[in-house]
Amino acid sequence: MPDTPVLIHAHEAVPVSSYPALNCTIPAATFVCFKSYQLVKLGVYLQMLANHNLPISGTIDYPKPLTIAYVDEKIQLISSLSGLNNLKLVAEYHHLDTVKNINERAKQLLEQFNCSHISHELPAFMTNLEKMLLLIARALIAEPDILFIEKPFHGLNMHEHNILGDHLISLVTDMKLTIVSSDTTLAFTEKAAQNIIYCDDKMFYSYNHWDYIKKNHNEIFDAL
Amino acid sequence: MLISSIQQIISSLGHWLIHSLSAFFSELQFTFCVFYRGFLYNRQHTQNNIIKKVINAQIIFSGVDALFPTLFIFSLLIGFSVTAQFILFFQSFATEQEVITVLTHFVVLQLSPIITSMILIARSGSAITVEIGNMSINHEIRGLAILGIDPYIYLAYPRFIGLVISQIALAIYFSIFSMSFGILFSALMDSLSNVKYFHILINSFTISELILFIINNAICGTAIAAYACFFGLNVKRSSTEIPQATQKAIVNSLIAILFINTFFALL
Repeated sequence: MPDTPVLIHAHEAVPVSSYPALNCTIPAATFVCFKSYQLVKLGVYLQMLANHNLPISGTIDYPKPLTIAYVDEKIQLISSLSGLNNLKLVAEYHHLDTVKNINERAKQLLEQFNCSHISHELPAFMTNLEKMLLLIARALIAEPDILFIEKPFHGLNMHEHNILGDHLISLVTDMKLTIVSSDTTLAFTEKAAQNIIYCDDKMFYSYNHWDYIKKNHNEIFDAL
Repeated sequence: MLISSIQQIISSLGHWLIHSLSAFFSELQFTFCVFYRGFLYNRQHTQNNIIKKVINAQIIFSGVDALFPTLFIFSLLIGFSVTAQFILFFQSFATEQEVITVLTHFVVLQLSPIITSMILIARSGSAITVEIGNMSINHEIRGLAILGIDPYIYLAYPRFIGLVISQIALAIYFSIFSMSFGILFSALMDSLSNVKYFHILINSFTISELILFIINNAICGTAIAAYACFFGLNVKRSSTEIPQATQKAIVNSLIAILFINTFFALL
């Protein structure tokens, strides 16, 4: 993809001591999946790329200013707010638009994720899938350039996994959003990822096709 | 042997004093930080619907819901057991003006901030600590921070404002109810002519007393909110921390309220 602008460059970036250094580029409008063999926790790399933690060595470059959104499996919606109010929260707090426009945008996002029926529900009454979709929608209301999702399928059954997977793919293909994800299932990685950054616990490898992983890193299948 | 025991006692007292002072200054710093960030945010964004919503919700929960039956029953009982008994006892050897002056100083300026604060601590302070503590454990506060939302501004500041307004409003209601019920009870138990105390009561306050009353209650409301939010936000990992944090918030708030009222009594 020679014409695709690069959003993030990582040069020998190490998030935690004794972890391998990361060299990679994150191009715009692609689905990038991080996979590891066993030991390395990929979340710290995602947090480093999302500018939440500084690398202890190496550098992370952002060629242009980015709006970054980050979601992980531990983050929860605000339990005292309804689905719609959870979505509006960020935009209203930062005064991103008029109250009317924020309301419309939130409703649009709820429709896009097929979650209109939970707009007045509290998170306690939502399924894991609905919560994850709302977390993603809440991250998208600020119209980010890039979305980091750690363990997106955590706690979902196969049916829910497929629904969420389709939504994530459509965000990249239809909305031209860049998504960087970690610990997705092998089947989803094969189906969705345009870039796969694989760590065998010693170093990172970057591939743009699933077949290369299959060919060079059989251990990933042994680990299953 | 004796000297080493005395040394140990002094050392323990020193440790306790250092720990208490350091905790007090941390909470004081937290309070100033919340107000400072809140005011800055308010100045930058004049149309703060989201903060206003949380303030309104807090006022409804702390100020309006506490009115009936909790505050009403408290003021009814204090009116009967303190105000009415006071009038009946003192009117035989003091002038009407003296009776009301002593009553206003005791019930309105001293008792009402303490009773109202206790109601707020029991109802709202503990609830705020539990709510924020649970949010902390569920990673909701981390989620807010990732979205660029300052928990001090979104969670603590509206609760501070809400509790200050609620404390002042409840103290005013408590004063009116407890004095009125007391005078009515004394009229029913002794003589209907005791309703004359209503007229004396209205003219018995000075402006400086009213200002001190408002300031006293505002500081009490701030202290309750500060301890509730501070200990709630300090819950980190385990749900077992929540009851401990709630207990600390309640005990520290009660001690703070008594100190504040002692200070204002001396003025």
